[in-house]
Amino acid sequence: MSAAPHVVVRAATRTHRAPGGRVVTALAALDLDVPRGAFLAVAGASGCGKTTLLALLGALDRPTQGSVRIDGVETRDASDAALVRVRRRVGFVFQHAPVLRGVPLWENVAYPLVPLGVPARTRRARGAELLARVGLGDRADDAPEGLSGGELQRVGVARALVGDPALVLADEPTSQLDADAAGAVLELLRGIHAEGRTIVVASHQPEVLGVAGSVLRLGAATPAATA
Amino acid sequence: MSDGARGPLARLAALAWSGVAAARLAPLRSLVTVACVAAGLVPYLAALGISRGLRDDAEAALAAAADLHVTGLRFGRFAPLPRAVCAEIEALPGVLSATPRVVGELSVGDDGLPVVVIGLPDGAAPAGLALARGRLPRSGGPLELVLGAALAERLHTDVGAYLPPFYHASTGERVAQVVGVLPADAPLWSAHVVLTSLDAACEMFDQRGLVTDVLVRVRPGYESEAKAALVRLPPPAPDDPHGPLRLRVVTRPELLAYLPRGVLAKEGAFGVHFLLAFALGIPLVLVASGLGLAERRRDAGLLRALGWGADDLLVRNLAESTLLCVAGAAIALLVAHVWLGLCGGAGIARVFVADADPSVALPYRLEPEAALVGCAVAFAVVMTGTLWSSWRAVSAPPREAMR
Repeated sequence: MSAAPHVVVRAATRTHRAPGGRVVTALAALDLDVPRGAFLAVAGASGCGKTTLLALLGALDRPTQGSVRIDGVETRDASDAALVRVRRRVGFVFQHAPVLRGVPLWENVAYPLVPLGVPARTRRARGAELLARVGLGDRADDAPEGLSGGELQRVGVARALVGDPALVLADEPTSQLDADAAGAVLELLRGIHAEGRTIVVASHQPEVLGVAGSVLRLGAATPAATA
Repeated sequence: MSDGARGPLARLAALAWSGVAAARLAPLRSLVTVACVAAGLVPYLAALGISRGLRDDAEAALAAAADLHVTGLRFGRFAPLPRAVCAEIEALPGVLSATPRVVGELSVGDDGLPVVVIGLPDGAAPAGLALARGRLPRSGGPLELVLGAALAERLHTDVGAYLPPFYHASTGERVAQVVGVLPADAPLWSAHVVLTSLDAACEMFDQRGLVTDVLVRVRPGYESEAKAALVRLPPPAPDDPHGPLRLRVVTRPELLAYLPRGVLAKEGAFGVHFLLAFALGIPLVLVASGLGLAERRRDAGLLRALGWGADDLLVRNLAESTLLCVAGAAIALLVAHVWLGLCGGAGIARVFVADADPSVALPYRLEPEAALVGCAVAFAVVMTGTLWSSWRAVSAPPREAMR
């Protein structure tokens, strides 16, 4: 494990223009270092900027001011192609577990491998392997339409791992789940962390915060923080 | 992850295949797009097919035609020629034979069915003319006719049957006997034809001693010389009270060039319609591409968040559009084939053949090249129509697109 932090955030600010033209600050002047192998939870009330921060950490968005450096790549100035390369090294578990409808689960999991030219047979094997890991091995050929919220989130976790990322980001992964399903997802995240991956989870749920090694609390005033 | 990753071609193939598979993810959009493409292509392909079929027929007929085709002109309009001109023509150097012919239109039956009457001297029937049944008509006896297959069917008659008088002449009218019937699969021009002897045809039109044209065969290589000699002939029938006649001579290559002109003009009109249809197709495809746009946008955002680049998504969309175009073109080709083959080109045949008989099989030839051209235009239209939605889907930041 290298001593250099996985992600370095300096004075990162993200503003949006609201429909009326008003400028809304979603995240203000945040400083953060995410060391390699950390399990960081980002906590705070709704609207405090958790999702915005994760989007910045996953190169899904760029800061309007300040700097976000992921594995040495400064995302604010990076080209689209560079951001795509960064995203391929990051696993992202989304809040609502979005999937491609009508596409078998194994294919949903392995879809990130398509632009890499990975052959279909290899993708299928990889998708099935990861589904087995999250307890859905027998449903690889099913369409996602019949799955429960907890199962869909497990598919989301499997998909986040398909590129074998060193950094996994999870945005409110258990907020829509019942206690059992949430426990299963948390167990998965713990297992992933045990493999040496860096985990950043946004959540306001105590169970999630209890699993994390450190907690970053974002408040209404969006304080500068380090994990 | 790079395990199992292959080169750029494999990457392109994987992306393209994902695009092909994506067509099933938005079935309504795919169906509407394919339907738009097919609806635009079918009339164009059908028109082109009929046009090519008619041209094939005309060219086949002309291939067996005479080397020179001689008609009379008076005041610049076609006029009958005296039959005696044939002897003068046959005396010209290089000329092998000069066959007089009468071609005119009459109506037969209770409902006045228009027919083309062709009168030829005995033994001068076109080479290769085959009858379905019976024999060729002979002169000098009773009035004998050979009928086109469609005409015989319309008149509910066959070989051996008699037809009541269907023309008026100063010498009176005669009952005619059907002595032969042309095959049903003969070229379109023969469907409603009445073939008879030259004398009988002259009698039907009450134009004794006159013919409508002369078919001239010449020795190989003598075409130009014979044509020049024909043009230099003194005007036939100089004592005719209606004034002198001039000869109009057309060679077979000239006829080949003239005949398809009308068909080509109609084909061109359909080409314009085709372009108009596709100009209208663009907004249709735009509407179609708007079906499920929100979902497509969300999917695009998700894929970008999962490491797909904008170019990857565009390749995927390109493959999807290509599939929809090919499917639309294939369906259009099939529908055009059914329309022309099984339905006789109902509705479109009359554009090319004004008095097209629905019972007569229309000649047509559907060419793959036409389908390919149509497919290419359809592709351009679909790409234009989907460009905006595709671009919107891939250009939005992934986080925004996923909302």
